[in-house]
Amino acid sequence: MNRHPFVRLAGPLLASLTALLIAAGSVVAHGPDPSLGGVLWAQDQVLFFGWKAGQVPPSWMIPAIDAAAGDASLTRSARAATFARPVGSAASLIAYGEPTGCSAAGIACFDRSGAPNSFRMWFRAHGYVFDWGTLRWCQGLTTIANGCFDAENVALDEFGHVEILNHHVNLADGSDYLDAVVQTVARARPDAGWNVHAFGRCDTARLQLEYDRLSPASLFSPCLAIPTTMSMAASATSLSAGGSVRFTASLVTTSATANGALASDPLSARTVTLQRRTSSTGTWSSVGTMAQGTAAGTYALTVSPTATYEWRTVFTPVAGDGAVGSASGIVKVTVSACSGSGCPLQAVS
Amino acid sequence: MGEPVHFRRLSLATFTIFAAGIAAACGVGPATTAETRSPTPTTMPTIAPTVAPPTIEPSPEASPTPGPIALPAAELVMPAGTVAGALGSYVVDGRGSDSPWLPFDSLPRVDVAATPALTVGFVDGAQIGEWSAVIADAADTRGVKQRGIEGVTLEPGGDLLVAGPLPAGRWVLAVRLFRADGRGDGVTYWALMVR
Repeated sequence: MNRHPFVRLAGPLLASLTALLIAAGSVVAHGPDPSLGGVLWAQDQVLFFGWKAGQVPPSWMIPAIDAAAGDASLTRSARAATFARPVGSAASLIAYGEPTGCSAAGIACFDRSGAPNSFRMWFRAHGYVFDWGTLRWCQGLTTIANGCFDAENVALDEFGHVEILNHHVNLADGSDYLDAVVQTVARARPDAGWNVHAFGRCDTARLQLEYDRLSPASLFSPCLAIPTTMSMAASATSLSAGGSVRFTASLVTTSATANGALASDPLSARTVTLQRRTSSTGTWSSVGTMAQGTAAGTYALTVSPTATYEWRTVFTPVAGDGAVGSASGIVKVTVSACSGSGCPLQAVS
Repeated sequence: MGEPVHFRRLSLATFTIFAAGIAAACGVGPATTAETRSPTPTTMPTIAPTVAPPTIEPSPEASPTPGPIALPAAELVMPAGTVAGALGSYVVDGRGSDSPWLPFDSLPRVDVAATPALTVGFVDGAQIGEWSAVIADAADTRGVKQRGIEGVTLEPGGDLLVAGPLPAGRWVLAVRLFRADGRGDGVTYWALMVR
C-alpha cells in the first residue's frame, strides 16, 4: 500500500522524523481512503433504500440520487454493497430537507452505525442558507450555473461513506482531488471533480481492501501497491533433448495483514512470462507467455528444451493494475544430449 | 419522532461553535483555557472565547450508541484563550457530514502577529492521531489553491498540534485532526490575519 500523505505517529521519535520530512516537503504520496471503521456490510449485500416519510426529495433530485446509487454499485470495483430502491418499503431511509443529521455547514450527511442492517442519509434543501452561502443543487436550477452542487456527485460521496469510506487525504496542494469522490471538500461547478459520477481509484482501493475484488481476474486499484508472490514447479528437472517439461506457476497476493481482504488472493488473467538463462550469471530471456490454468491464479506452459537452463516465471502488471510484479524461484532443468534421428532443435508448445 | 430532537441538539451544538466565532468577531473578552494547554506565548489573538465541546445525539433510527457523540471540532489555543473554529466535513462513530470549503468571510477571525507557530487541538482535548493542515488565500473562496504548512509537529502530550510559521497575509487555515482512538476526524477552519 502506498503511504498516506499525512503522518502516523508511533512515538516521539517518529513524530520528530515526520516533522522533518514534512518540513522538507518529502511526505507526498497517495493512499487509499481511510476506513471509517465499524461494521462492514456483507460482500455484495444489496442495500435497499427508500425515502423518509415527509422528507421525500423533490422530483428533480430523485433521479440524481438513484443515479448515484447506480454509480456506486457499478463503479465500486469490489465486493462492496450495492444500492437499490425498491417499490415498497426499505430498511434504509434517505431524507431531503429539515430536519437533517448534518452539521451547521453540511450539505449532506450519513449514518452507517446501523450496519449491517440499515443506513441513513440526509440532503439539505435547495436554497438552504449557510454562513458560507446559499445551497444550490444543480439539478434544481432551471438554468445551470456556477456554484451549484451536483446532487449525483454528492450522493455518490454519501454512498461511499455508507460503504465504509472516510474522506480521502489529499496531497497538500489538492492535485490528487480526482483520485477520490469521497472528499473533505465538496466541490461546486465548475471546479474539477464537481460532477464526477464514479468512485475514484483511492475510493475503490479502500473498498477492495475491505471487501475484496470482484473476481481473481479483476485489477487492483492503481491507488494500491499490493505485493504478490509467484511460485513455480517443473514436471521434470532432468530430461533428454527432445523431451518436454511442463512449467506451472501460481500467482497470489502476499498474506500481509495490510492487504486486508486482498490477502492471499489468486491473480488470474495476468501476463506471466516463462524465462530462462544458461547459467546463474547469464541474462534472462523470455521463452513465452504462460497460459492461464484451470484454477484461479495458475498458469502453465510446456516447452521442449534442447539444453540445460535455469527457469523462472515473471509477473509484470499492466498499467493500471495496483499489483506489484514478482518472480518465482529458479528451477534448473538439465537436458542430456539427444542422439539418433528425430532429435528436434527446439519446440515450444 | 427522534429526528427533530436530534436536529435541535445538533443545532445547539453547532450554534455554540459559531456563536463563539461571532463573539470572536465582535471582540468578546477572553475566557480561560484548559490547564493542560499552554502554547508558547508568541501569538496574540484579537479575541479568545471558550466553548464546550460540541456534541450530537446518536441517530435514534440507527443502532444504539451510548451517549452523545463529541464532534471532532478543533480550536486554536492561544496564550489569552482558545478560538473555536468552524467545523466542516467530519466523521465520528460511523456518522458524518460533508461540507464545501468554508470561505474566509464565513469563519471565526483570528488576528495574529507573524509567529513561529499556531497551536491547535480538539475542543474536547482528545489525543490526536493523524493530521493534515493547509492554508488558502482569503481570496480563494473555493479552496482550490490550497497549500501545505511546513513544520507541523505534535506536542509531546499528544493533544496539541503546532503548525507554522505562517506567512503574513489573510488566510483560511484548514486543519484536519484524526482522533487517536480512531473514532473519527474533522476539518476545522479559521480565518487568519497574519500581520
